[in-house]
Amino acid sequence: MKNIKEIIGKNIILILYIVEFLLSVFLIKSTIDLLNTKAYCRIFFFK
Amino acid sequence: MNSKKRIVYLDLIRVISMFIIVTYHFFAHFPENNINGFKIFSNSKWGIIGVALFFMISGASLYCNYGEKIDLKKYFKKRFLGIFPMFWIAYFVIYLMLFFQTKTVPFGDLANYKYLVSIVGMDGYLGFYINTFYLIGEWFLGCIILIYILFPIYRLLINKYPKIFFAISSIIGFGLMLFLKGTKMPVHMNLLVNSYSFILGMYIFKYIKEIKWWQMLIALAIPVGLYCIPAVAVNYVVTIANCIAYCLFIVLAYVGMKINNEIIENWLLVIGKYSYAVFLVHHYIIMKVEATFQNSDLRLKGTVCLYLTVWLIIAIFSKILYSTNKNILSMFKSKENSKG
Repeated sequence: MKNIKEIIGKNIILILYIVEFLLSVFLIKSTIDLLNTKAYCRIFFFK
Repeated sequence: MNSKKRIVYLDLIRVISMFIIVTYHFFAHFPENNINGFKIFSNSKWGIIGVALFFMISGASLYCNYGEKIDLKKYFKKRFLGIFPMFWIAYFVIYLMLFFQTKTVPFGDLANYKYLVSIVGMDGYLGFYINTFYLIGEWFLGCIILIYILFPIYRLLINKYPKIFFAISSIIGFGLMLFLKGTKMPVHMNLLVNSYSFILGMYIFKYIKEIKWWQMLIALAIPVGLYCIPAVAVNYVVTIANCIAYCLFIVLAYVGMKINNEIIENWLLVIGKYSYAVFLVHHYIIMKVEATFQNSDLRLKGTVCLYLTVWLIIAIFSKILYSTNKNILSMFKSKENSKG
């Protein structure tokens, strides 16, 4: 347990970077999906 | 990639950069009005990123239209009609509003010949060196006008000497970003620095026909890392922000190319159409609206409400400005046609 904490502590920048990167990938993927979903467009834009 | 797909991504980036710039200005005026709100965007990097994206999109759009052949007379006429009439209308209205509010002629102590600087849209850009009748358009307008004038030369160099011109402009662009110091005009407003963003947009449009998912991931990994770097010196902030914008352009282009929804495509086109009008009026509206909220404790809910209020007013005035400009131009056009 102590070792894991130490490893996380030493590599916190790297871990944050990876988390941020994965979140960005998720954001891009969901944006593309959202932009290509026609159902909500029909609701908002009455088409 | 067909031409339609390429234009959709240009529209997407135009709309996103417009939102970045307006949102940046919205939060940038919180401190001077002592508004205690939910701040997510006060970082000056975002302003530079939005503007760099706008320059890149301008370069890409112009290269899309005039890359293969250019009729200089038509090009300059179209640019002139696209920029100046709307700017003059907005300027004139705000000038009269200021006169009505203050009951005195705005900038009454300035020499009249300086109106010429405003008429040619350079008042914001030259405001660092001389006193001008600056009201709207900011430094950006003057800078983009100069870049539009230089576009035929950039186009010629890209078409004739693509490699050499890319190398030279990269050296000048990054050299200025990293080492230009002590000038009255901030580095990120420098004509050559912004010309570099514009030129990169032209190059991307000319050479990058398709973006693969792994290329997008690389382009995404760079800004995520760069954004984490704490930059103290102004030059590094400008360099990092510009690099983020260059990579973000690729990422957003990838997203834009993946759009396959006509409704969204049409909406991007419509919103993008108003981007210049939004750009002209947004800063003045933000300053006026936020001045009425001085010393307010808005927190999250209040900040969201104020943000939406500002956008609503910007949308109304942009629509009015756009329609007025369109009507005036068509009036002149029909008179010209009847004469002919």
